[in-house]
Amino acid sequence: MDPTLKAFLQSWDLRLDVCIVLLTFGTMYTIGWLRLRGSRLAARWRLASYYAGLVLLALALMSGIDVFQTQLFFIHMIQHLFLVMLAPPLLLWANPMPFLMWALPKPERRLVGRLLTQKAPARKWLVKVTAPAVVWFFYTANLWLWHDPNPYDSAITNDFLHDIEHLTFFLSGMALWWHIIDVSPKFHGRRPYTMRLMLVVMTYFQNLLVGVSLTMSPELIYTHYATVPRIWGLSPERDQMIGGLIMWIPGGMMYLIAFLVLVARLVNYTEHRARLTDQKRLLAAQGTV
Amino acid sequence: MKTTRLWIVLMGLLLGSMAQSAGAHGLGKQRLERAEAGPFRVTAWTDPVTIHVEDELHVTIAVEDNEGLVLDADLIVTAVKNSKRISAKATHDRAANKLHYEAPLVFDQTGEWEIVITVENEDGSGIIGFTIDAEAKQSRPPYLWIAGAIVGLLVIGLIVRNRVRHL
Repeated sequence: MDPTLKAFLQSWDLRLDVCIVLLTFGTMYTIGWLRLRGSRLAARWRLASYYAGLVLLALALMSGIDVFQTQLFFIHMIQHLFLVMLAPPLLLWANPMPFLMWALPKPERRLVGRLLTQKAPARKWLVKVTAPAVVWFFYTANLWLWHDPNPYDSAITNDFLHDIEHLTFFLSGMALWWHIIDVSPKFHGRRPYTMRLMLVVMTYFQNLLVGVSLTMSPELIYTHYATVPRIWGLSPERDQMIGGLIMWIPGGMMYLIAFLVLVARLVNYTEHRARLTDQKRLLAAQGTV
Repeated sequence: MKTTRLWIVLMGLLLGSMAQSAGAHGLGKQRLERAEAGPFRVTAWTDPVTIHVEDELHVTIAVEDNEGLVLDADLIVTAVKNSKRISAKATHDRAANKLHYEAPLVFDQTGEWEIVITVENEDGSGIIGFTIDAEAKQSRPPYLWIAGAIVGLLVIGLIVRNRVRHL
């Protein structure tokens, strides 16, 4: 085996904080799933999807991906892909809210329920700060901010800033995919397909712009990578180009898949509505005969 | 009741881990950038950035030659201050990135220390160094733990209040 690849596979940074957070959420989801077992909600694929999301987060934050990102830009872009575009949809596909709620003891479950009722101030505040436009703006601003060379180079040499970068990427990804996938809590009612499609398209273009800019840049944008030993004979410029391509193509693919799924669902939904209208008309006509 | 206890333990661990999350896990400050040492080029980082007496300093080192990264070298890191010498072997096992070598050092005196890195393998040997300032031990309050404990107490208070209300 290639010694660099072997080193990549053997490099782990087992962080106690990350392990505890992932284990806590994994355990809570499992408790909730077991309590709801037997209901239609507690399907096995949901449990698998949630675990897969947690495993991706663990890989992004503790495996060779996290260790090597200080040396290779494209590995850092793979890490961001995991945090923003892969782990959040998997975690949200599992519809975590009801399961995490059911993991709580009854009095605390009621307490959280009360905090989220229609008239509760906490809910009103949450509705405002998680409005689709706010979420999209936060996601976009975050994406551009952390790809600016100054914050980027600062974050890669400062652990605390780097953790903040990853946390904001993950949270903005969760908030965005929460609207796109349309899972609970549904503070904003049922999200219309047009709004969800618009979010996907607008985000796709932001991602595309960053990816293309990095790929096409004739100069090295992130100077940190010129100061560290190179791996696999990749020059910092070539490394930057590969990183940009990763954001551009596999990153764009995630939005393309979401777009196609939403269009297919919209077509089904429209056809279903049309059939219902036809049936109603038919029944109305039969009634008048 | 069993689930309640488990839940409280999990919440405690979650809050504790949040307080711990600012712990170092990166390379730290770069001290050498491809510095010539015999047939090798040495890059070195130290973590934490500010070193205090009695704290463990991690010296992470990457060694290159004309063909790329060197993974089979023997490295000794020595800290020298006047007649005082502290040595440690740098190994891949200690480093998170297995392409690097890492050595731990603990200073017992404040002031400027010279860090000397000796690299050796069958292709030759080289020596390179840099200086580092060790500051006096600081008894800084553990702010993150205090913040974590306050949040923990607030959560426990909220839970207790909620339960008392519904007795």
